[in-house]
Amino acid sequence: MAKRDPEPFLPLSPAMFHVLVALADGDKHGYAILKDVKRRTEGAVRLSAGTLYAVLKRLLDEDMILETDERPDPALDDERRRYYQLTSFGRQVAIAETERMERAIALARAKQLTVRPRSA
Amino acid sequence: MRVYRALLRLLPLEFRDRFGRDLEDVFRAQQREAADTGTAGRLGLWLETLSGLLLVAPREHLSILRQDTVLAWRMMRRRPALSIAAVSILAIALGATTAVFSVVNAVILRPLPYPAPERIVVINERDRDGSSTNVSPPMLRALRAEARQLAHVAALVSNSLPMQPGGAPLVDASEVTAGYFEVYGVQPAHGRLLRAAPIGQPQPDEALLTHDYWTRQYAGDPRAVGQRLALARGPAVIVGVLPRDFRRRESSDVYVPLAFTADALRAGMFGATYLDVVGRLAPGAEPAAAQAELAAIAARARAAAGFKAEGRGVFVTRLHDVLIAGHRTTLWLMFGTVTLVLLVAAANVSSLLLVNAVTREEELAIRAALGASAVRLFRQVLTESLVLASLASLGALGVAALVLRPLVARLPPGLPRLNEIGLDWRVLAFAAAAALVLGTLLGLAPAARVSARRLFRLLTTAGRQASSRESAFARRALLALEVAATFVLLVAGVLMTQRFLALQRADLGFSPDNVVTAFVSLPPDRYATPEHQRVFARRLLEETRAIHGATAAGIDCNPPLGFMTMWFGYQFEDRPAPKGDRMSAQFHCVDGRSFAAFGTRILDGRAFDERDGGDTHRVVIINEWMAKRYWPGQSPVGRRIMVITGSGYHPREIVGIASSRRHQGLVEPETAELYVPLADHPSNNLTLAVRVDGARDTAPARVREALARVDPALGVVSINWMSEDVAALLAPYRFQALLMGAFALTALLLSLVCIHGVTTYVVSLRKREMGVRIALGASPGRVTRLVIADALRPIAVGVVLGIAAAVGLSRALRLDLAGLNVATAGTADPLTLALAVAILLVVALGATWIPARRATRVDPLTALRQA
Repeated sequence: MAKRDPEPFLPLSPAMFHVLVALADGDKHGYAILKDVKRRTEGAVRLSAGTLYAVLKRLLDEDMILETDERPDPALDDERRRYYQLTSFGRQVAIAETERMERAIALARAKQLTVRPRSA
Repeated sequence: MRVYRALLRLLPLEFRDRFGRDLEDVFRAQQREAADTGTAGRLGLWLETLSGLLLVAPREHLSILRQDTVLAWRMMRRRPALSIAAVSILAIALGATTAVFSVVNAVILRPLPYPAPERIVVINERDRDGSSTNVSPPMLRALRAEARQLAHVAALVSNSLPMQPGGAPLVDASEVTAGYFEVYGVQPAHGRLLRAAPIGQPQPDEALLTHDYWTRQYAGDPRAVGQRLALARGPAVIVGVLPRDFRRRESSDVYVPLAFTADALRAGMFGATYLDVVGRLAPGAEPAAAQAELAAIAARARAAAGFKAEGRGVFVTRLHDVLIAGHRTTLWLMFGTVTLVLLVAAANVSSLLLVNAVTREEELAIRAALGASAVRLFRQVLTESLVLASLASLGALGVAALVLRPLVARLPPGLPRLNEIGLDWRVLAFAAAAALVLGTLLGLAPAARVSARRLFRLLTTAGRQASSRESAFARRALLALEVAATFVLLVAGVLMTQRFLALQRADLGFSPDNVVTAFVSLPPDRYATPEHQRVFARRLLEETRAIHGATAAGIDCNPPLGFMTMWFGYQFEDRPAPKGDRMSAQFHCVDGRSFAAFGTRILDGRAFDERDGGDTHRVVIINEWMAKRYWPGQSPVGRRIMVITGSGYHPREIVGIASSRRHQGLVEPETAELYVPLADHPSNNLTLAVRVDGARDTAPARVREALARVDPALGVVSINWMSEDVAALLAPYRFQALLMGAFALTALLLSLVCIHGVTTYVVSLRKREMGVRIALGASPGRVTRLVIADALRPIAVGVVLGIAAAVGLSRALRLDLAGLNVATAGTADPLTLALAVAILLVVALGATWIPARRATRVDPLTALRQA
C-alpha cells in the first residue's frame, strides 16, 4: 500500500488533534477519550458526545484510527463498548501536526512573541 | 434519556446506526458524573450536548448530500444522451412555466409600487342598471367635502391638449385635482408637485412632467424645471418631474391642474360622469365601510339637487383589483395550462428515466449487497433526481430569460403592469421550489422501489423479469397521466381556436374592411361656432368623396372602436322608463352617408338625407336593440322619442333602424344607440370614415391630402385602417389561441415520443411471446393489432381522465365568455371533444405503428433462443 501523505489533513481541527493525542498512549473507548481530553486540557477543550463521534467517524473514514476488538482488561469492561486504536497513519498525522505547531511557535518566538514567564 | 434519544434523530440515520448506542452510553456516563456537580453541572451538560448536536447534525447531512451529489453527477455523465434529453425537456417546460409565472407575479402577485398600495381605492358611481360609471364633478365635490373614511380623494381626466404651433401638435395630459399625488404617495424626482387649488377655484398654470416625457423632450435636463410648456390654451410653468417608477394606467406626458367651470359643478351636472376618481383610505378604514359612507353621501347630494337616487350608489374597489379585473382568470388559466405542459414533460422524463430503471437497479442491488442501507440508497436515488431537477431549473432560468421578452411583446396590450415583468426573487424562488417538487416527484417512484429484499431479488433472472414488468406498468401509468394532460391541453387549444375564429367572424354591426378612419380635433379658437364646424364637415365630406376609389365617406362624432363613449339620455313621451333600464344611449351625430361608410346596415326606414336636421325636421335613427326592446313585434319607424342634443331636449321622429354595433369591443353586450343628424349637434371632435374600393395603398395618403386641402393648419391627424383596429381587439384572443395551440402541440409531441417509447419497450419485453405467436402461425396483421391494442389501453384510460378534466375546465372557461353570444365557443361540446380524441388517436396510432411493425419481424428462432 502506497504511503499516504499527512500534509493534506493539516492543520487539524483542535478536536481531531486532541482525540488523536488521547489515543496516543493506548486504546480507549468514547467516554474515556472525552475524559482524557478534558483532563489534559484542564477543561479548556470540552467535547460533546455528538462532536466526539463526528470526529471519530471522520478519523475512521480517513484511516487515522480503527475500531479494535482487544480489551485492555476484559474483566473491568462493558462488552458493548467499542475501543479505538491509533493507526500508524494517524500517528504520522498527529506528529506532522505537532511539528507544524512547533514551527509556528518557533517563528513567533523569533519575532519576540514569547509567552512571558508567569510571575510567582 | 428519552429526550436525548429524540435529539439524536437530528443526525442522519446512518450516523445513528453506527454510533447511536455509543452516544447514549457516553451521555449516560456524563450524566452520572454530572449528578455530583449539582443543577449547574447538569444544565451545563445539556447545553453542551445540545450545542454539539446542533453543530454536528447539519454538517453530517451536508457531507452525505455532497457524496450523493458527486455520485449522481457521475451517474448522469455515464448516460450523457439520456441526461441531456431529460434535463433539456424539463428545462424548456420549466422555463416556459417560469416565464408565465413571472407574468402572473408582476401583474397579480407583486404589490403595486406605491406606499401602502392596498389603501388606494378607485371610486365609481353605480348607475340605475347596476353598471359602474365614472364620477360627476358635483359628486366629486360632495365626496371630497364629507368623506371621513378616505384620507384623500382626487380626480383625473385624460386628455390630449393642443400645443402652440411649431412643436408637437398635441401633448397627452392628465388633468388632476388637488390630492391626486397624495393618494399615490408619490414624491417628485425634481422640483415640486402641482399646487392645485381647491375645486371650483382658479387653478395655477403649472405642469408636472412624467419621467418619460422629460427624458424624451428635455433629454433629462434638470433645468427643464422653470421653463414654459407651450400649451395652446396658454403656457404653463414646469414645476417638477415625476419619478421614473411612477407609471399609471393613463400614459400621460404631463400632469396639469384640473379646472372646473362653475357650470360643470352645478347640480344639474350629476349626469356628467366623466371623472376618474381615486382615493386613499384613512387609517383603519376598509373599502366596504368607505363604500357605505360614500353611498350615503351620494344619496344625500342627489336628493338635495332634486335627483332620484333609486338603484344608484357608489363602488369602492381596491386599485389593484380594478387593474387586474378581467385579467386574473386569463392569467391563472395561462399558468394552469403551462403547468399542465410541465406535468406532461415531467411524466415524459420520468418515463425516459425508467428505460434505464432495470440496469440502474442492478447497480443499486450490488451496492446493497456490499452493505449500503436501504435508506442510504433511497436518499441516493432521490438526490439523483434532485440534481437533475436542479440542473433543469438553472436551464429553465435561461429559457425564461430568453422567452420572456417575446412573450411580453405578444401579451394582450390591455394587460396592466407589463413594464414590471422581470425575473425577481419571487420568480427565482418559484423556479427553485418547482425544481424541488419536480425532483421529488421524479425521484419518488424509483426511490420507492428501493428495498433491500427487492434489490437482492434483482440479482436473479426471474427477479429482473418481474422488475421489467413492474417498470412497464409504471410507464403505462405515466403514459395515461400524460395523455390525460395532453388531452386537456388539446381541448383548450381547440376551444381557444374556435373562440378566436368565432370572434373573427362575429357580426360587429358594421363592416371594418376597406375603411380608413381619421380622427380630427378642431382647435376651439378657430372653430368656435357650430356654423364653423358645420362648414368644415361639409367641405371635408366633399373633398373626401372625390378621392379616387372612395365609395362612401361619412362622419361620426362617436365612432365604434374609437375608444370613447358618449352616453346621452332618452325618454318616452307616452310611458315611463322600464325598471332597471339605464335610459341612456351611445350617442352619434352623423351625416347621412356615414352608415354606408362604416357599413352600418339600415334594417328599416331610411338613413338621413338633406331634408333632415334643424327645427323643422327633428329626426332620429335608433338601433335594432332599442327597436326590439321598446317596440317588440312592431316597427318603431314614425314613432317619437325624447332625445337630448346640443339644441335641447326635444321629441324626435324615428326614421330608421340601424344594425346594433359593438361600440367598445368584440365581446361587449349590445346596448342602446341613437343617431342624430350632424347638423343638429356639431362637434369639434369628428371621425371621418372613407370606404374605398381598390387603391388601398394610397387611400390613407389621399385622405390626409384631402384634410390638408380643407384646413392646412390642422397638423397631424391619426389615420387608421379600421380593420387594423379590429385586429388589435382580436389580438388577445389570437394570442390565447396561439399560446394554447403551442402548448397543445408541445404536449402532443412529448406524448408521441412517450407512446413510441413505451410501446417499443413493451414489444422488447414481449419479444419471446411474439416469437411463439409467429411460430404458431399468427399473421403479421394479427401481431400488429395485438401490439396496438395493448398500447392503446393506457391511452384510452388517459382520454377518459382527460374528458372528465376538460369538462370541468370548460365550466371555468364559460365564465370568461359571459356576455358573448358566440354559439358553441367556450363549452367543451361533444364535437370539440371528438375532435381532440381524433387528433390524439391519430398521433397514438402513428406512434405505435413502427414498434408494432417491428414486432411482426421478430424471428421466432432468435427470440426463443435469447430467452
